[in-house]
Order: sequence, then C-alpha cells, then structure tokens
Amino acid sequence: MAELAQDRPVSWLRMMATLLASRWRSQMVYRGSMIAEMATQGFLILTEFLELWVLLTHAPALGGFSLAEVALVYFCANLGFAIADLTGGSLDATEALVREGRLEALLVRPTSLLVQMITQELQLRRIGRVVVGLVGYPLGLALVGIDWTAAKVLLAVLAPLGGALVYFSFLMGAGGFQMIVVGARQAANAITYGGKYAGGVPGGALFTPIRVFFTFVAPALFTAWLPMAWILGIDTPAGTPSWLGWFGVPAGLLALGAATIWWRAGLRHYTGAGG
Amino acid sequence: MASNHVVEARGLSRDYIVHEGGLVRRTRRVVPALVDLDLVITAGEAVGYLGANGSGKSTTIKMLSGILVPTRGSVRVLGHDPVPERRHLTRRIGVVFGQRSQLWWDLPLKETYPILAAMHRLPGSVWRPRWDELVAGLELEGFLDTPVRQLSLGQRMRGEVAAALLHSPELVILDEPTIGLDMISKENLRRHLDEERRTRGTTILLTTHDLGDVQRLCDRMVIIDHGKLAFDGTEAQLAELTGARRMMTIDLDTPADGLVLPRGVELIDTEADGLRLNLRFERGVSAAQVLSAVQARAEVRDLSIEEPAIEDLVRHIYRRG
Ligand SMILES: Nc1ncnc2c1ncn2[C@@H]1O[C@H](COP(=O)(O)OP(=O)(O)O)[C@@H](O)[C@H]1O
Ligand SMILES: [Mg+2]
Repeated sequence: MAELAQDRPVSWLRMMATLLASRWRSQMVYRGSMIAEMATQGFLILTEFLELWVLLTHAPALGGFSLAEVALVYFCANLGFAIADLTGGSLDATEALVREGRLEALLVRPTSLLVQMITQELQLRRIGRVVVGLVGYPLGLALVGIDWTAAKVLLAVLAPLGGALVYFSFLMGAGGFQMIVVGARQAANAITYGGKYAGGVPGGALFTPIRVFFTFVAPALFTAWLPMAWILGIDTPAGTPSWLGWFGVPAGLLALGAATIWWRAGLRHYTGAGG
Repeated sequence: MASNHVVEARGLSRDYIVHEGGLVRRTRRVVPALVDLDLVITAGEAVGYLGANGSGKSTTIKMLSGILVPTRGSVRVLGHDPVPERRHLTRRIGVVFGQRSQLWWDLPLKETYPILAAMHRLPGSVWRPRWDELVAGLELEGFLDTPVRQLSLGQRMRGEVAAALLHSPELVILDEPTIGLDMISKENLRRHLDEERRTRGTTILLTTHDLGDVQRLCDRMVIIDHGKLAFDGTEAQLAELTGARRMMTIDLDTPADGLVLPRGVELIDTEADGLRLNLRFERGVSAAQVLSAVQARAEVRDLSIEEPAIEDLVRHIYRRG
C-alpha cells in the first residue's frame, strides 16, 4: 500500500478523522431518537443480566463463582462486546449490502471496504452498551474484593481489549461468510451471539464440549471468564487453566487473522459470482 | 498494450452459474452473459455502449471496474488488471451505477463531497476548486442542502455524476445514467460530460438501452445483443446501416389540409379524423423542420418523438450484415 499512498497528501489518519467526523455529524441529526435508543440499549443489557441472575440463583453450580463474581464476568464480557459492536457492529450485515446491490458502490471507491463499513455505518447508539460496560465492569471489580497486584491490574485492563478483538473477529468473520453463502445471516451470526452468551457466563458452568469449542475454536471464553478466574484465583476445569486468561489479546489477534481470511474470501467470492 | 488504450478487452467473456430448484433436484445452468468481446477504447473517446435489457452491458461494466472476475479472456483498463488492482483503478476511474446510489441517503450533497475527497485523500486545495466547478457545471446550487433521499431523480443523478468526477478520473463509466431522467437533466448531463471531455480529455463510456440518450454525446456506438458484439462504428455508420428513422406523433387542433413535407419525411398514417399524424423521418432531417412544415398548415397541440428502439436497430443490423 506504500505505493498507493505516494501521491496522496492526505494521511490515512486525516482521512479517518474526516470520515468519523462526518459520520458523527450525520448521526447527530437524529440526536433525540438516538439518546432514547441509547437508554433502551442500556436498559436491555441490565434486563439481560437480571435474566441471567435469576437463572443462576436457581442453578446448582455457577462454575465455582459467587453471584457478584458472575456479575463481574458478565460485565467484563459485555464491555469487550460493546467496543467490538461499536466499531464493527455493521460488519455482519454484508448480506443486506449484497442483496440491495450497495456493495458495488462501495467497491468502486479507493478506501477499503472494511474501513468504509466501520466508519460510514457507525451507530452512535451503540455507545449505550459501552457506557454500561464502563460503569458495570469497574464497579464489579471493586465489589468482589480483590487483593490487587500490578499483574492483576494489567490483566483487568487487557481482558476487555482482548474481548473486543475476539468479538470484532466474530462480526467480521460472519460478514465474510455472508458474502459467500447469501441467506445465511442467522447461521453466520450464531457464533457471534452464541459466543457473546457463552463469554458472559462462568465457563465452568458450561457443558464441556461447548466450553472447549468456545475456548479453542471460537475463543469467547478468553474475553472474561478465564482472566477473571485468574484474577479471582478461582479454579477452572482441567484443560482450560485460568492462566490462559493472559492469552486473550493473542487469541483475539489470531481470531482477527482468521476473520481477515474469511473477509477476503467473501470479497473474492462476491467478485467471482457477480452478486 | 498501446499507451493510449484506455480500455482493452480481448475475448472478454462472462458466464453466470445459476442454481435452480430445491436442495434435492438442483440444476446448474450456465448463463453466458458476455461472449468474446473485443473492445479497444482510446483516450478521449466517448463511446455509447448500447444494448437491450439483459444484453450484458452491466456485466461488461462490472468487469471493467474490477468488481466482477471475467470467465475467459483478458481486460486492461488504464493498464490495470481490474480485479486484482481494483483499488488502484478506482482512483483513476469514476463509475456511476444509474440504479444504485453511491451517495449517502441521509446527507445533503454539500456534506457528501468532503467524505469522498477524504476517501480519495485529496487535500482541500485540490478538491474544493474542482467541486465548485462541478457545482456550477452540473447546476447543483439549488439543492446542495437537501438530504439526498429528498432529491428528484434528475437532481440525484447529477449529484452522482459530480461524485464520480470529483477526483478528476481519466475514464468515466456510466451504467444507464439516463433511465427515468427528465429532458432537462439529460441535457445537463450530456453537456457537462461533453465539456469534461473537451477540457480534460476524459474518456467516456456510457451504457444505455435508448439510442437517443447518447447520439449527441458519443461519436462511437458499440451495440451488444445477447452478450455478443453486434455493431461497432460511428453514429453515421449506424444510421446508414439501419436507416435509424425516428417517429413523430403530432396532435392537431384542425386537420392539416394540403400538408407539404420536407424530403426524408414520410406520413405513415393519420388517426382521429386527421387530428393525429404519425410521421417517420430520416437522420438528416431535424424535428424542428418536421414541426414547422406541419405548423404551416395547422395549429399543433402536442407532439412526441420516438427514437428507433434498440431491438429494431439490431434486427436491421442482422438483416443487412
Ligand atoms: N448475478 C447474476 N447471476 C445470474 N445471472 C445474471 C447475473 N447478473 C446478470 N445476469 C444475467 O446476465 C445477462 C446480462 O445481464 P446484464 O449484464 O445485467 O445486462 P444489461 O445490463 O445489459 O441489462 C442477463 O441475462 C442477466 O439475467
Ligand atoms: Mg444493466
């Protein structure tokens, strides 16, 4: 891409700033309804959590976690997901782009499809979820009573970032998949939403094959359960030791690599099939 | 490749694979949408790419702009292999898909161009003067602040063309930009594209299924029929080959008794006791000449002109060729 940038006096960062600023302005047109929607989103997350809470208070095992610790896992996973959803929440909607013939218009512009989708489909209402995560996660950390060390602080910061990478990859992979198998949006998004659900509960409570799948295939359990188990010093089932929690960011990067391959394959399929 | 070849297609072909039926009795059918197209367009040409619906125009355009892989044959656009070098190519060509908007539905045009300029990484010192030029040339001033979704089709299409021209492309490809446009917008587009070509040497490739849309803009006509090249030559050659006679229907207040028609005009029939005339006239005759001949004899209430349908031209070409 170095060659591509040669005679371009405007830097990539300036371009991104312009694209995001214009998106911000165009979203602000709907300021009123957006604030209402943001509030709804926040409310939905709390409802989701209450549901989980009710379910878990009646469950025989919480995978060795107390209710407060369950809440912590939930909000940690949610913060990661919220960041991924804010930036890549539109990536899993490529099917609509293909169906409505909008993809072609995006492909005759010099900016990558990914950047165009991230910046031009950005939904500010998705900030609602981030705000809930930014409040809920530190609150959870404070309430469960942790003996803080530097390593624990570092992991507490890394966990949602790894989570964001993992969930972003799910969204992106699903988008690539939809360009190949049109009509498979539900199937493509199953990993995203299944992963989001599995990531938000203590993995020890999950059926073993599911736990193994969401650790080593679709690494959703790196987003909260494993790092929180390490920070809290809670034992995890054999095969998924809690020190794996340190590998959230690398797992996210690996997933991102795989998602990029899907995304490219999707584009290649699209240009091969002709929509 | 010769350096002044903007488009060079050799044996360019595209098949679509269509799957039909349910999961069990699924059949696979190959639709040949474009067959062995040889096409060379040199810098500065304005080419009208004509064909009936489904003849393969959009398929060709998509292969030229790098969003569709050819099944066979080769294609070069400005020296690029379009699909693998798509993003390089997008900086040098402008594409307008008549049916699919490239603008932002919720944004007014005024806010659209800074975004496109950013995507092309053009500094303000380059794109602002260019933008002013386009606003003036395509007469956009009146609706710059209106969200795109509220624009009329003609206004929107002018905005689309301005968007495709902002980065001063060497080649402009327009896929059926004139469908559904009013006469004024069509004329505005034609004039502006003509000016781009004269002042900048921009190469223009415009598809349409309506011959009338491209006659005055394009000096070269390429016709495809069922994916195959049927004609490639000048407008005059096409007219000679097909006769390309236009039809005019005139409604009158009183019958035009003693009507004398200029040479090359033929009265086919009359309707409504002589109050409606159906005339056919050749290329060399202007509509104004026909009209004034009729007006000399009666008050004209209404008229319509019909270009020869592309299907008729193709039929003529096959009969003659
Ligand atoms: N994605 C596609 N899948 C299958 N068939 C297609 C596809 N796109 C176009 N076709 C078929 O290819 C032929 C040419 O289509 P097209 O290039 O769109 O024609 P035009 O633009 O001249 O109307 C038509 O028969 C059309 O039905
Ligand atoms: Mg078409």
